[in-house]
Amino acid sequence: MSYKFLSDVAIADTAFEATGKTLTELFQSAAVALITTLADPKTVKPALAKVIELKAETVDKLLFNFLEELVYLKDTDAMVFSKVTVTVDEQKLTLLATVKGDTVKPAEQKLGQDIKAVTMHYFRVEKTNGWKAQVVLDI
Amino acid sequence: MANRDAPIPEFQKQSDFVWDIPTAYKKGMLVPGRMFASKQLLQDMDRTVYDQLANVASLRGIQQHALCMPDAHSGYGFPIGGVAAFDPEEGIISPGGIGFDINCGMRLVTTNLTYKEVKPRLKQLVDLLFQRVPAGVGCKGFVKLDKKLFQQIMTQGAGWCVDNGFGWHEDLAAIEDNGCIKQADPAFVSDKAMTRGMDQLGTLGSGNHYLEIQYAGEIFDQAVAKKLGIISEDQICVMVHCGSRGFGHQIGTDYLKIFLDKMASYKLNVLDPELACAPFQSKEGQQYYSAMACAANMAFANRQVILHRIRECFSETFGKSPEKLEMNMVYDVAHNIAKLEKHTVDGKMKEVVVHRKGATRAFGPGRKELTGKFNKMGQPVIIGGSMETGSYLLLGTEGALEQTFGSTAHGSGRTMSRTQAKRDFNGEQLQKDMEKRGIYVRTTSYSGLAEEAGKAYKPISVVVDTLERAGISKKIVGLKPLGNIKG
Repeated sequence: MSYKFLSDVAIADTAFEATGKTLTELFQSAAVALITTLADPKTVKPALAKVIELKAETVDKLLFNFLEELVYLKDTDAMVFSKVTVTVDEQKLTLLATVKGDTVKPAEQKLGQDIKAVTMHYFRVEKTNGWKAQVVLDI
Repeated sequence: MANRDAPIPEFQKQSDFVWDIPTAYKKGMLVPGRMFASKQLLQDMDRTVYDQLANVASLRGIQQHALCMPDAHSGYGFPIGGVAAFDPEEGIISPGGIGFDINCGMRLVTTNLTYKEVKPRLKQLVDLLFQRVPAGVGCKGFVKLDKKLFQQIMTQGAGWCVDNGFGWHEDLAAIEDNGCIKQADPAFVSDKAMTRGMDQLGTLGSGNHYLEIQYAGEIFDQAVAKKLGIISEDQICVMVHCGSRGFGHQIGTDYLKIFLDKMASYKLNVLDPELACAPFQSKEGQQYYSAMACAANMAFANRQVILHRIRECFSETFGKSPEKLEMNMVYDVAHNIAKLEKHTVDGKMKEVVVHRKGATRAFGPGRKELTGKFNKMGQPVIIGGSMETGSYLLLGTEGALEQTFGSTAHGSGRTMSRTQAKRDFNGEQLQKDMEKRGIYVRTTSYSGLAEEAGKAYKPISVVVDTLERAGISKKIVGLKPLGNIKG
């Protein structure tokens, strides 16, 4: 389970590749890549908790909608994140996630870049030995 | 899907600054691609741009050429710096040709202060602006709105701000479309978009958005500059770059998903999902066009409220009213938008849906859309450069109307990815280095600052010279940075 930021995929945006042995691990990795783009999670207190429940027709849509939901919470609750815990049901294509974090506090948090949107550009979820996804975030 | 290893096209040279990509370059191209660039800029362009331009050239109803400005770099779907016009009956509208940040744009304001007057109080001024103009991830604005008021902003744009005390009536005359696009209809905006954007009026955001204190370092056309309120080369101006914030981003996301689901029913097939589109005249196409206008109006309002705050901060710092400081609008332009405009196509005037993504309207004199003094002189164009190098005030031309559906560039254009820039530059060090060179920067994110290093961008003077020599803009003033606020 890991992620890495890619320097040669998007010029003005942020691209990452996430991997996992299972879909749950893949979603976990992708979520960490996204929340790390917004702020260093180690500098964010787990003062607030939000629950995300989703269902989709395809794995691609489930991941896209999940990441988009995190971007939505960032704006509606002016929130950055310390931890995401997610469980994906591979059969039913449902997801349950708990997201912890705090309202934005520039004095104590190491902030990164705001994310405008999750894009469909080079967006892909692949079954390899485990799972692999590539995501480009509009910055 | 765009191809990062796309072959280099056999360019057909039209002039030293105009190069065509023939339709034979990629299967499906309906019209040629046309790039405005010097030979060097063309050679240095990232190759994905060629492929992305070819993909745009294959969209239904495209007119004449898929165009690319000299600041172009690859984007999602359409290239950034891209212009494409579509037939309103046969053609499409695509959120990917506008960008998620609908009506991301530039605003330029004058003062009657000089470099010498501002320099000793620069830190105090920038610190105050940094405190008063919210920037960075998750920032909230100071204007408290409910759903009803937010809907008024969606339909009234910058006019709402002026009516509610955030600006002067004369500001509106110096905004593209007077700061209000008429076809806005909140009925086609999701609740999700509203809740995401309601608290963000008057905020900069992050990425390449900024508020910059500048001086008019070089005046190229004294007569026009004077008409626009810039009279001397030590005069202080303020530039703002931001858009429609989470509100516009959500509208872009909502309609991307709607269009992806609906395309098959309209027998539309695109080469990259970020080119998702709908026929302009379809129900979904018209709904997006109305929702996009809501976001565009919110962006005009956003920059208007920020101007109000800038005026307050200058007034407080220099002990004079904004009127006494002559803090007048030069202009406000959108550079992520689609518009129904009349242009000459194959010798005849016709309506087309012009998509500008990282491209600015650059109308020459006489266009009916330009009112007051702008009708005679042409439309001001604001080109934002990197925080280290400077920006430009240009004027639209007849040549732009003839060649580019009245369009020009929007900035200098990136050459280095954000991830690479973070590896190559250190934000804290960059801030110190810039201060030594007389540019005082405040930021909410040092990694974000590193991503915006000047060396991550093309040389703006080369981009602007190309625009002028291709005849699609005219240089008026070169603006140099003094103080900057980054999100």
